Amino acid sequence: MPDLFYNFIPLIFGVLSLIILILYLKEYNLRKRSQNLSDQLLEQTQQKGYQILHQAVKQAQDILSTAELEGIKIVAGSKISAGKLDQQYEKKITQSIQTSQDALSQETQSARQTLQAQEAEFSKFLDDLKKRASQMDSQTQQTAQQRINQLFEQFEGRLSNFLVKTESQTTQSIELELKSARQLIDTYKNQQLALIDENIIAMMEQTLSIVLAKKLSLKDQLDLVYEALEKAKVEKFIT
Amino acid sequence: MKLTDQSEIGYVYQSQDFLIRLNGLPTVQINDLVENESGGIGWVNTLMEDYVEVLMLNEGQIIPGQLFKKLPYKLGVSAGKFLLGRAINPLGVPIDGRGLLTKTKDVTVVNLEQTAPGIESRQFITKQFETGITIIDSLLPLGKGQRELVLGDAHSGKTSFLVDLIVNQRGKNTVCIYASIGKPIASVRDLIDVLKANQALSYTVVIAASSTEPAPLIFLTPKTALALAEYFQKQGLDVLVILDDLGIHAKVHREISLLGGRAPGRESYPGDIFYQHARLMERAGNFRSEFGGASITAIPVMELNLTDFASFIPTNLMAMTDGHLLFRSNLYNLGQRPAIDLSQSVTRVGRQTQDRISNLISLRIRQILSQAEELQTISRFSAELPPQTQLVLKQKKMIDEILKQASLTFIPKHIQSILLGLVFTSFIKEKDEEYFTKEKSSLIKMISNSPQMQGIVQAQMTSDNQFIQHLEQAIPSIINQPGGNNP
Amino acid sequence: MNDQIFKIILTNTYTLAQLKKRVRVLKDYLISQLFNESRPSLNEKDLAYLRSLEPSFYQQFNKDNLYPIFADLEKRISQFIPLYLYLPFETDDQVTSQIGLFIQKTYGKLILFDVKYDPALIAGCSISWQGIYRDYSLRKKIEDRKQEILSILKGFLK
Repeated sequence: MPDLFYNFIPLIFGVLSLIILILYLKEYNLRKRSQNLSDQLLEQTQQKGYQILHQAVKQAQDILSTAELEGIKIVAGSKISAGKLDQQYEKKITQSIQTSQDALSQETQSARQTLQAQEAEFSKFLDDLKKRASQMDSQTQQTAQQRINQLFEQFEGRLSNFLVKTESQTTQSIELELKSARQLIDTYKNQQLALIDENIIAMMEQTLSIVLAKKLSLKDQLDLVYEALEKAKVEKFIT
Repeated sequence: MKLTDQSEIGYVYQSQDFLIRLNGLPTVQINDLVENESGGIGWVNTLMEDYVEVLMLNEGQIIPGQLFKKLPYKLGVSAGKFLLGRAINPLGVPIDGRGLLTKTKDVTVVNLEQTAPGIESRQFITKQFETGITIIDSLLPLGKGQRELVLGDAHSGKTSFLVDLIVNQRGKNTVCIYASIGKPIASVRDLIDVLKANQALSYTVVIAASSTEPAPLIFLTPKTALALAEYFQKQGLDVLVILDDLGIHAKVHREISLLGGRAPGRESYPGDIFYQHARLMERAGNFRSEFGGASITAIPVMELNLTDFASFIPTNLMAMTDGHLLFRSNLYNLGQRPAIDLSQSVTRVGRQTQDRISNLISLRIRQILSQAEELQTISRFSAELPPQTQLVLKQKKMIDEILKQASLTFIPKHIQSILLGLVFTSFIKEKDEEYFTKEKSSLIKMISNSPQMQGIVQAQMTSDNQFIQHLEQAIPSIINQPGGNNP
Repeated sequence: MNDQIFKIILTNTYTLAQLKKRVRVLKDYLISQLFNESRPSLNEKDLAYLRSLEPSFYQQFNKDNLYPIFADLEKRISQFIPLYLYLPFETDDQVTSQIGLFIQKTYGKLILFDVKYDPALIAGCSISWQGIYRDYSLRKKIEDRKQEILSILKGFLK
């Protein structure tokens, strides 16, 4: 089979190249016809373009010439006005410098004057101030002195009052205290005295009992008992 | 002892425990005092033809032949404002360890034994004795000058109730006298501490003879209490006397009498036990202005044995008082404070002192309670109850909750009426008894803050229906308060 | 008869203690005599007393009446209210009988007394009769004149 296929290859190639050739030729003819048409169109447009350009250049030259003319005219005019302006300007400047110089000198003068006046005024004011201050000083000193004196007097008065009062109060309270203390002492004293009295009696009784036990004979004792019994009878105690 | 030039004397010829018999003493009278050389004081109790019976008030050795001298004064105790805040024994000796009594010049000695003031000195009891305890002030009101017996088992909350009575008198210008008759020292000390902690000691006098003291001294305790009460009453001060407890007093009297050879009567008590107690109770009352003008309210206490209030001494005391409050330990254990048995308690004088509205409300409350009592038995058998019955049962539950009051709390009288009045309003439909258990204190606060409620209190109303109507209108004012709407 | 016996016993008897003692001694003696019991040991004083009684006195007693008589005597003794005499010195029988004689002489009737010793009286005596006590001693007198004595003493001090 492949052998067969190999045998046909030249044939196939030949057919194929024939077909391609035919197609190419056909295309070539088509292209040649369209190029002729476009060449004609190009020529027409070129012609029209040249015409337009020609017209434009012509017009531009016209415009340029008028413009040049005009320009020359304007330059001449401007040269004249500039000279005038220069002069005016110079004049004006000198004038203004003058006036300003004058004004400055005037101003400085007046300023100097006012300054001087102010200085004077200030010094005057200072003097015044000084004077017033000294016045005030002396016044305040005086019033302060007065006040202090017054205060002192008042204080003294009050202090003395207070002292007197407190003195009286304290003396009163002390007196009261003393009184109560005295009372306390008195009561205590009385109590103690009573106690001492009691003790004295007790001591006396004790001593008496010791002494009498020894000193009193039985007869005396009995006599006392008899006396008591008789007394009881008299008092109708024992009936 | 110093014998003066002439004094009456007697010689001991017999001595038995605290009871001694003396020869001599020709002009001695009952309630005179005698003293021996060692300072022992005796109280002349009985006069016989040939001897005198004396009860020793302090301990000490008594030897036959010992000489006793008659003292120039009778059995008495010095009284004055200096006693307030103090604890003394029946002879006026301070026992609170705070030093001697600070006596001023105006010391009066009052005799312990005094005849009760007669009828000419007394007047009708018209003022209510406010306790700040709802069940008392609303349902069992006491009057100033009433004698109300407090009966109850051991551990039924009697003592805390008594403490409440004293503490709630704060700021009412009342003098409280607490007589502790033969109680242990520790309980007396506890009481003093509680009173002190609640600022109640400043208007209270505590008179105590503890169980370890000689019987005659214990016997004198209520006499001292009433003698001091009479003193303060004559100064124009209302007095509350608490005698805790007269059961012990009766027993002490029995001991003394049996030792003295008196014939024992019922339950071995001497024949004059009724006389002794009645004589004490008689000294309380409401007095005319010519006789001092104030009142003595007496609260005798009696501890019962197994709730048996039909025995001798309790029945005696019931007979001589103007009513009684019965405390029950089973109610106490159920959580009711104070554990007063409403159906068994009586007050004979208090109702006349109550204002009209409280009186009417309390009448209605008692009706509800008795109705509920009947219905409760029925309700056990039927599942579905008519709405009327349900309402009554619910009202009873609410009333029970309202009447519960913790100790050391004070509820003003007008708030008590409002609280009880609420039971008859639509309030009951919105809240249940749980609400009262939990929110009672805030409810009380809301009532006292509500201007509308205050208006009801101040308005003079004549019938309970009117009162309840007004309450009904005022309910929103308390329910809508902040914190009020939490059913 | 009992009155007579009692009277005999009471002669020369001045104090209650003495009386009680004497009655007891007499009783013991008579019991031993009448019932042939052993004789109680007696001291000189008691023997002297027994001897001082007349034989006729003893003859009044026999086995039958002894106990009733003494029961009666003891009852009578218990009814006596004695006069208490507080003395600042100690006494013996002689002194008591002297005082007893004096009391009988002064009051003209039978008063038995009991002596109590109280040295605080100093001198004299105090008397207690039927429950009343009166002081007649020097102590009382000193108490009464306390101020006087003290002023005199203070006068010395100054």
